[in-house]
Amino acid sequence: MTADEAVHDPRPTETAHQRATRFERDALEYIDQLYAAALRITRNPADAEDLVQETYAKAFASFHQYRPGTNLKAWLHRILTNSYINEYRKKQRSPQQANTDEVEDWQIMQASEHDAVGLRSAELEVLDRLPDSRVKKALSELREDYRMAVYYADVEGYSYKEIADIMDTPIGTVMSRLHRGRAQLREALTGQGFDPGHTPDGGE
Amino acid sequence: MSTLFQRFDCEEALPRLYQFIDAELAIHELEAMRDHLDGCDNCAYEHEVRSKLKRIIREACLEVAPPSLRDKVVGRLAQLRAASAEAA
Repeated sequence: MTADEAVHDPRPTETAHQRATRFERDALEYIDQLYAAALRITRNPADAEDLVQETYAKAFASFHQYRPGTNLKAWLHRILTNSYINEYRKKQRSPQQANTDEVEDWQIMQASEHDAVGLRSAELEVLDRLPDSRVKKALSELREDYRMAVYYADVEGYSYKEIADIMDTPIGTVMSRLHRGRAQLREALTGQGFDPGHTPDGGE
Repeated sequence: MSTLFQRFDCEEALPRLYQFIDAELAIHELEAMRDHLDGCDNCAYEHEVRSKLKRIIREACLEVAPPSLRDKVVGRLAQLRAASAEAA
């Protein structure tokens, strides 16, 4: 997003042909980032490719709604996320994950997250040596909505507001998903995350 | 709550740590957070681990789309363009 794009909106005067050309020029630039998101979300390359193609087809059809100067990549990720939720997930056999257990208790949980001092250097060393495959596997085992939030925050670097728009959910929910997803990742990758001895309720 | 000399203890700093790492912390709280991290080993450690985890996740998940996928997308867009040109 540059100042130039924010100033000039070509939509009122451009032809359909010009708009299609503009779409291909600007949107195809993000195919790697869309594929990466699709791969994390669907967890397999064939579905990821289908999802990316579907995303581009839908984005092409509604490109007149995209406001120049706003974040095109985030707009495409939003379409990708919606497409996945509305179509691909229906085909999956696994039961839909309920979102009802998102009690906002993570802030309380965090207060007890100090770890024993002796384990610390070990935890940092483990993180330093983790192969990418382990990280991807741990991510793939997260609940879908946690996985998406972590992907969009950590890999794409979106703001909480942008993630809230992409996932069509309140910012507080985004923060909760991020916190829980990251805590579970840490637990899975290092065997630590928070000290369960200090959370009588188990923290979850 | 935002005074010139705002200070955080652990119970205030920890729940804000991800916001700090994600560059989401309010500007008026940044100094109190940095000040607390300078003086608290526990929270400084949490900051180091969580920052590292974020970096590791990003680096592990960077992907390059297969060239064949780009071709398929370009082909599909060409079809859509042709279809919309016919309709017009």
